[in-house]
Amino acid sequence: MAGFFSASTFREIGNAATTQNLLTIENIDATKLVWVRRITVQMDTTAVLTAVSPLIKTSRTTGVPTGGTTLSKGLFDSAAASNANTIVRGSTASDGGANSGPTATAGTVVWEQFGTRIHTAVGQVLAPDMSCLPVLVELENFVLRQNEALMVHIVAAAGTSNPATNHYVVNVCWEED
Amino acid sequence: MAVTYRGTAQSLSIVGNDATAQNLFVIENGIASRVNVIIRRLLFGSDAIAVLTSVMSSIKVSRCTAVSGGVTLAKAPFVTSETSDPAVTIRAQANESALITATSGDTIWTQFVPRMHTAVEQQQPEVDSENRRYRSLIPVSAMTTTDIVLRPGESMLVKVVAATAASNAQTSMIYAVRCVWEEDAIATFAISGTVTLSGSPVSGAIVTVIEADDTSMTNAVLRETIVTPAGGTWSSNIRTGKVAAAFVQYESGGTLYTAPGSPYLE
Repeated sequence: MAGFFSASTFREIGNAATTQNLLTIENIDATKLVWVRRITVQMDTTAVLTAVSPLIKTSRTTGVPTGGTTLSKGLFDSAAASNANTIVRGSTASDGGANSGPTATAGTVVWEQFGTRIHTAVGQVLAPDMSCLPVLVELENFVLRQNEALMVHIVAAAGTSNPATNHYVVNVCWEED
Repeated sequence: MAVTYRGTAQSLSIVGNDATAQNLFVIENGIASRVNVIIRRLLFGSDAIAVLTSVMSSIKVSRCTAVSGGVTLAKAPFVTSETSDPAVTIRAQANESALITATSGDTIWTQFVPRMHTAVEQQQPEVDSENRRYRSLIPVSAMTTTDIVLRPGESMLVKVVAATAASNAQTSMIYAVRCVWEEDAIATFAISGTVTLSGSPVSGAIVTVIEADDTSMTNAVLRETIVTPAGGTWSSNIRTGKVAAAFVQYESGGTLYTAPGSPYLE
């Protein structure tokens, strides 16, 4: 049914590797489209990192994602139900829980953004929204057709740049026809 | 339909509760409401006045059920000639004296709560509360407006979820939550009558109006009770597509009266 929907991952911890998949959104419906309107990441780093920050990349995937935790979908209006063929996946089923997927192969990068880091552990730590898609998609349709997906993933220069003291929350908002 | 009210509501300052979960704020569109609530802005400020070197807490927003407690916040209208539907209630926790009980549903949006890693230099609890992308608890768009709708009987909860109780300490975390909403009138039809006793109008009679989904009284709810004025007249409005029933009670000089109900008002 047409309408707007959203989902949030649980708090996901860094996996100490150079790559980490944080969230995927896929459309496996043969006739319905998904328009992604907004994706944001927020990040908290509790340990000092003096090397370069991880990059947060948003890519289309080559194939439909698997695994991970299927996230519940929030309704903008209870009169509209989200299509079961729109599937959002995160990496954990609880805040700070163990990571397990989602699995997907990143294709062309759509957008990227540096994450945050603390060079020295002093003062206030903020967690601003970091957009994972250009703002333009709020007005111009960014379309997921059948068996297309988007993935938000970390690409770190070194595994030590994405330690378990990094914490991520990803939010996604989309529209269905 | 038409927007009948626009307004804002602000919580008091709310301190952390030394627990991993804390209900801060609820927007409730009561079942007796004659409007849909459209949430335009929902955001929070927070000030961390003690050091936290572990992960910051999150604030999660979800639809919710079984709401009670808290304090009812004043509604500030954009236009003083507009009146909010009395069934629209904004609640916030008032520290230990008024806690909110609610059952959260599927998360709509999540925000981290800034923390103070060491107690040095300037802290910015908020930069600009009306920067639409800063600490917004709903997925607002900079360029478009998308309705987040609470229909009668629906509520939305703002809740802190902390990794540990120490992350949400009473002595360190202070929150404030605020919202902007619109009320969009929903279609209704009018019912009315006059209470009489021995042919004379009765003032002070109590008319109880029940609203339900159908004539089997599925999902029946109390719409309102009306005390008749001089002339004995009463009126109410019922959501289009619903049915109503009304009955009367009256006490005079220790004598109790009732009257045959008026069922299946459609």
